[in-house]
Amino acid sequence: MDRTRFEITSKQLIFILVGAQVATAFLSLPRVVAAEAGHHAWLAVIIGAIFPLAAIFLTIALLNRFQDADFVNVSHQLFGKFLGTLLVLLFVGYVIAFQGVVIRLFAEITCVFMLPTTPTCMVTLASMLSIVYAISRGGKVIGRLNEFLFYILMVDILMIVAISVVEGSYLNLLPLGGIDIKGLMQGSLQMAYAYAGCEVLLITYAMVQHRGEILKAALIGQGISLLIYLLVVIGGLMVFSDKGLEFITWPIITLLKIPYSAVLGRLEIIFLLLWVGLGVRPVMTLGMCASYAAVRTFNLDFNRHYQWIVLGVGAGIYILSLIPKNLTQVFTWANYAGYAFVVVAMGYPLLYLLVSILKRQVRS
Amino acid sequence: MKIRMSRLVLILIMGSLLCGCWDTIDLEEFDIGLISGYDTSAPGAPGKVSVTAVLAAVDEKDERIGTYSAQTVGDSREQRAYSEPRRYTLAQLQVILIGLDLARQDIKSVLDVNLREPQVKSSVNIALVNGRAEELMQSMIKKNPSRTSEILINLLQTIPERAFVPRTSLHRLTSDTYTPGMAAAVPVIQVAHNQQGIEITGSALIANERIVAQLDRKETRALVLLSGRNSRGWIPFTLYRDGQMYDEGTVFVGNKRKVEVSRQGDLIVFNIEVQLKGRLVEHRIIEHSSTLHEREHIREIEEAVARDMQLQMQDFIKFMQEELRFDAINITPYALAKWREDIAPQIGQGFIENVLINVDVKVILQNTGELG
Repeated sequence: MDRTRFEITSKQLIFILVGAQVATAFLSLPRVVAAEAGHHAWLAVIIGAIFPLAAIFLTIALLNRFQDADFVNVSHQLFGKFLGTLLVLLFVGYVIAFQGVVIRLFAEITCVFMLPTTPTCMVTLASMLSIVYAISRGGKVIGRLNEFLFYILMVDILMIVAISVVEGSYLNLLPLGGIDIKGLMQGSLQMAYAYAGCEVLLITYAMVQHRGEILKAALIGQGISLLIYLLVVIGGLMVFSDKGLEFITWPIITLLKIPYSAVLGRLEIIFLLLWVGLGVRPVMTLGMCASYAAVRTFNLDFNRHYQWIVLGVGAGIYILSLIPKNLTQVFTWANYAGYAFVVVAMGYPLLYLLVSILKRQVRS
Repeated sequence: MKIRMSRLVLILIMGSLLCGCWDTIDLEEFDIGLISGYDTSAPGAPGKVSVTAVLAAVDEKDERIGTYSAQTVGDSREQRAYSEPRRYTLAQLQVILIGLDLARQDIKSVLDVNLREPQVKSSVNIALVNGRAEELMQSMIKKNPSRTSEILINLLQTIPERAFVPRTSLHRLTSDTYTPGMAAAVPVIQVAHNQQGIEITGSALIANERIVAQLDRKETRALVLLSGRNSRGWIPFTLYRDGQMYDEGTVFVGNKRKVEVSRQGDLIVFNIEVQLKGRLVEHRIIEHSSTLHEREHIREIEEAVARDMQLQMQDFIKFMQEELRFDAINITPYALAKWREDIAPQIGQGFIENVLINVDVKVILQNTGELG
């Protein structure tokens, strides 16, 4: 396998960013944000986007400073071989742990709504097999898959919006004033976790064919994620109100069970069938990034070792996904993963940028 | 060749992992619940709750019915498991019936078990039974063994297209019941007086998970019009001149509601405008005349209908504020949308009793059919 298999277009970067962010979290998002920000949860969606936007700007500011913007190269240049490798491996470990939670959440939802008697570990295994296969084909395939799945996501989003308009009430969003600042800030922080996935730019930056288009593509991708989250949170608030949302584990799926549909019968099943591909996108995308970084950090031959590394990353994600005992524990892990995201997405580029600036000053 | 064989083996191994294998079950092995009925346990029966289900005819000719009594609704499923060879599925549940005795005690057990079950749709229609749900279902199965579910499902699903009766889904009941200060309206059915079928007698209001009032058909109509639930139905009218009746008839109208809320000092004022739009169905005027020539006459009919409806709605508002003390007409959200912080603490603590609710009715008869 040559490295051209990891070349992506800036358009694909948009879909990769959306695919890395919008997956399982958005099904429970209205509950999580409304619990803190009340009926102003939609505002928290906008404020929460400051974190990923800052991460995107920092990442691009950092990698623009290097001729070879490969994350592993940059790490080695700034921190030396040992510390640089350690930092890359920490990133890989973070991805494996985070995606373990994502795939487990995906399996839990699949088991609750579609395959109640299938063991969770089997749903995870079947999903991981296809994910590992997709990752083994390289970044280009992941880019194309994300693009294809994005259009399916649009169908799901249209269903949510249509039901929210018919079944919901705009009164649940009012009044616009009287904001509880503390609640809004806590809601925004919760929201920031939901934007996890933008750290994918650290790795994919070097894969994009035209560097000049990266910032624009990243901002468009982030804007699309923000818009999708805004629509689902507003939809959840309109249909259930902020108080009603507290009781529902996955409000977006419950929302789809509300309208009476004589022809289609169960809209949530149709939604979930489409969602099956969408739910695993972050695992595919970030799994590819982790495998790529691991191969590069040990300077391995892509043709000979990439697929073995992919298998190893896939096995790691699978094993970690089996550890939580129940859904409550999965949600607790997801919270920790959220904290880790903020540290990684903001911490890595900030630290690298500071070191890069200091090094240049020392040299000059 | 070797590669092809190894790929084939891999595909076969992956095939064995396909998750559907665990959940595959033949249709004949299912008992598909279409209607669930919940009652208090019958005298002498064990436990606190009795669950009756009308099951779809899968490989039989007629629908079947089964009743199990147990301590809780979930427990009744265990009782069933001991005697029934088929698996019970709620994926096609269409109607939930609740007996009056259970509704007077507490419907939380019914709501929780159905909301928690991922198979149950939130669009399932709910009705209360004047009497026991089990008896109504038994009587229906006796009369129409192959059409029991169809009759019930269609009656409850399409009733707002024919009468001013609320259609209440599991979602609607839950959101209204669990909103502080609100009451949810649920249709009430019973075995028809002629014993030939079933009939809707009106509705019941549920708050804090139990019945707080029962309404007859006229009161239910006032409730539906005031709460702005889209319905269509027939409304009779009578016109008097000099104390003498000179015309009577019926109009068929659909309803719309507009709510405005304002504040006059501490007093919150709701202005509800109900618009009824439709057509004249009949009028049996004593002295023959045509609305085509006497255009004023159609305005008189509109005013008569508006006056009657306004009086009925004002009576209902009085009842709601003085006796019920819950918002059954869904107007509180309009005030919350303006003054949420001020009002939220008052909800359920004397809020609806202390507001002023004005109602205005406008009737528009768009046509008079083929006759003037």
